[in-house]
Amino acid sequence: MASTSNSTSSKIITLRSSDGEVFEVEESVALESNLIRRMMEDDCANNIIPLPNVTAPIFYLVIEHCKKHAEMKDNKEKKKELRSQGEELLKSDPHTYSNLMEAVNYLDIKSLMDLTAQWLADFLKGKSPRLIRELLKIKNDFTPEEEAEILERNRWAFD
Amino acid sequence: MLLQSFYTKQPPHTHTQTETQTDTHARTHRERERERERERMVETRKWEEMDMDCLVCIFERLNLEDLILGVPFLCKSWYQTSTNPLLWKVLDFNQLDLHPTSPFVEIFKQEYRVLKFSFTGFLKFTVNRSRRSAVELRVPSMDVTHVQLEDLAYISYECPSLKIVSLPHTLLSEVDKYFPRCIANWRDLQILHMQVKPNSFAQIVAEIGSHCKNFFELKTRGPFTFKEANAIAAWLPNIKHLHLSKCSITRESLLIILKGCKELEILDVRNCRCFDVDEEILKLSYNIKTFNYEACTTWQRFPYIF
Repeated sequence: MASTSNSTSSKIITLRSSDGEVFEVEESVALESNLIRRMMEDDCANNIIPLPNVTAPIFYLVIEHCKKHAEMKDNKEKKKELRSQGEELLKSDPHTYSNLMEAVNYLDIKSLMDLTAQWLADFLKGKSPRLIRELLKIKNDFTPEEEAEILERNRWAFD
Repeated sequence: MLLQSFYTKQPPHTHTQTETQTDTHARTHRERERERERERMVETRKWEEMDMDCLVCIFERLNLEDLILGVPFLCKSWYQTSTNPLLWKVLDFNQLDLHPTSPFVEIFKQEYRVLKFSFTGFLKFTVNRSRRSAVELRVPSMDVTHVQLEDLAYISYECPSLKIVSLPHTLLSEVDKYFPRCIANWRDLQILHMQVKPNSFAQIVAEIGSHCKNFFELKTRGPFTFKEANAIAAWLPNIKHLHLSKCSITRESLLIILKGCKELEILDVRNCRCFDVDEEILKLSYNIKTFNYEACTTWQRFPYIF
């Protein structure tokens, strides 16, 4: 009963993504972001808050994760569900995952940063560079000279 | 795909106000735009361009093996991040198999094109990555991880911020002798574990007492002399944790420590078979939160302990 009265009376924050889309988000969700919190403290709350570094599709993802994260507190099932969704995104669309992480970093949402970083770290553990490169589609941007230089720089300890 | 499912699951209040439900034309236009935007992002925003703060946040959750063999050679920015000193504060070599024929060493030699692998070299390689900011160093007791005098000198100079040091079973005699001199460089030292008590133990304790203000935990193993117990009581009166299991400490030495170190919270003297825990010992240890004296009895003592 308390939740219904809360949801109707809770304040709505308006945000605009870099591609111009306008979002209305409950204050409790928006305040997960320290960036938005700081902006509101600076009295931008009555206006539309611009988020020049986050595109609409990514912002959808962030909000979705924030809500799920709020729900998952003390709920192991939800925690598992959120984790498996994150892992699925990492496997099916690693670039979107990297964009999600950068948005979370920019919006300064600590809880979500810890989660997404942990999922990725767990994903990387024990994998060979070749496999990581293949799965995350990371391009090798070393020139042969740079690679040789790095190897040379690291070899001193064993000479 | 998953991104799509997130779109369809959007609750109404997160949708934009400018979009009306009936205006399907505008919506398909927007969807097309969004699709294009996604394609653009996939083309331009890549892992290689990820913010370094983000990468540090990920890499600090990796263990040494992945940090050394997994992530550095993927792309330039990942390599750069993998050398960030923040990631090399904890040098726990217990995590790694450093035997010359272990898979880790084999891959290391291959990836870094190193012909001759040595523990000394590896220690230098990792300590150098920490750029003098290592706070924890643990060297396991393996036949290949003998700490040479050269290694100790390097650590003592290049790791001035160490808070936790754990040393292996065997210390070469010159290392044993040199060790007390290192302590003065480790003013932040809080925890010292020595698998076997070195001959220079009393000097080490004296150095810790005079240089390391925040020191609180000592762990060692081996027969205890009267002089060494005295050194602990005299130089470390504020020590909180003392782990001396299998130390074959005598009753007199234990009493000296109990009387000298009044702030002890943990005292572990398990398997010290040189005394029986009597009323005097129990009285003196009354304020110690964890006093573990399991198997402390003269009754079962080994013939070679006297």
